[in-house]
Amino acid sequence: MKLPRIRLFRKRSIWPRALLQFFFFALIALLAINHTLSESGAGLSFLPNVTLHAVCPFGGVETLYKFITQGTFIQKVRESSFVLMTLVFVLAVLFGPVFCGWVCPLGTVQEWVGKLGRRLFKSKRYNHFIPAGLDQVLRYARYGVLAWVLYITINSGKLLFQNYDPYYALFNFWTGEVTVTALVILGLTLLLSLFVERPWCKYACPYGAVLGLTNLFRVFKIRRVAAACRADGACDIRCPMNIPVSEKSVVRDHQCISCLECTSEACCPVKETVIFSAGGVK
Amino acid sequence: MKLNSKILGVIILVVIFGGIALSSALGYWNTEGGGGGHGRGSSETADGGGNGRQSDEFAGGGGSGRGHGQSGGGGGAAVIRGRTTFQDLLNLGLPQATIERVIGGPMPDPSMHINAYCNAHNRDFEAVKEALQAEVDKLSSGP
Repeated sequence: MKLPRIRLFRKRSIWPRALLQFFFFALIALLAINHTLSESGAGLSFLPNVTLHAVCPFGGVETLYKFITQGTFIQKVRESSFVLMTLVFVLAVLFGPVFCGWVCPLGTVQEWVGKLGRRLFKSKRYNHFIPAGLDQVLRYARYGVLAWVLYITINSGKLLFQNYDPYYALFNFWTGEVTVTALVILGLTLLLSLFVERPWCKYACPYGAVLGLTNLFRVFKIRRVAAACRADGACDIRCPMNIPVSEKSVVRDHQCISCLECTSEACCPVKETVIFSAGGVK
Repeated sequence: MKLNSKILGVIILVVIFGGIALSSALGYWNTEGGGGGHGRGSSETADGGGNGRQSDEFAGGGGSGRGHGQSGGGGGAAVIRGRTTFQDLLNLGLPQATIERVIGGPMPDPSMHINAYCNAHNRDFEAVKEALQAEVDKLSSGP
């Protein structure tokens, strides 16, 4: 007698996230292209002509020191960056680093490349190539990157990180204004995305480092109802940041990006077991 | 209180675009910089006088903005890009002295890309480009 095949979990799509990711990727790409076109007088009339720096909230973080000490911004950073930084911080305090999981176009591109990697290596193998011990150490490298970025920015008063930034390279590679270093880092990031999900976010992103700290005190958290949990490990396998959700009652990991892929709305087969909520679980 | 992905998605959009609308209404949404009111015709060097909003931006106020039209006198090469060389500027009729004033030093090998010069001298390319563009625009508008 042929036994029915048991599926550990059936992944349901968090489609609002995919939609927002595509929307913000398209928006930033259009703004970048429009900026280039505008320089030759051929910009799209329905789009504002803004530089990438003007719509990057990390610019606000980079200029924070100068703003506090001198009341001015560093080169290229606009007031709009400061506004965006504030809005993203408000979102992060409430919901965690949703900017990383729902908005950031570089994270989105890494996920898109990662889908190919997941097909190549299957779900259980993909995103588990790096030994756990090494992985845990590397996770703190992004705080080093953050410290270095702030140091060179404060010392120079300029956005020197642009020369290394894969995000800037992604949306400016056609302009001739991107350094070879940034292009190499972008290429490496995309290549590594075939094996590791969101490698830049995990190991190097300075803005992710800042926003990740809000996981320690954010209002809405990912919570697991232990009594209902089957401990099938679906949430652990699906988590792009390799957080062992099935071992926690509340996810406070500094790497969580609030993508909700571990929740009962997505991969968890039991209703109301892994939820996104404020306050305790009944 | 529980949230699902649909509600979270809506909240993210509302906070970001609502915040932008609110800051715009309050006058805090500025993507062009130039809060100090420098016109495009400013003859400051690109990074002379510091790095703040007051010195390193050349926003056009309500004028030409950043969408430069083609130069009447210089043909299609009147828009400065990353691959524009100093020789291109000379060919447009920009005097070497003006270029040196803008970049705040002697002009390098004319075949050098302006972007490469900025990288080599730790200069803000956007600001140098804007300042040089202003000089080129002056040429094309004529006396």
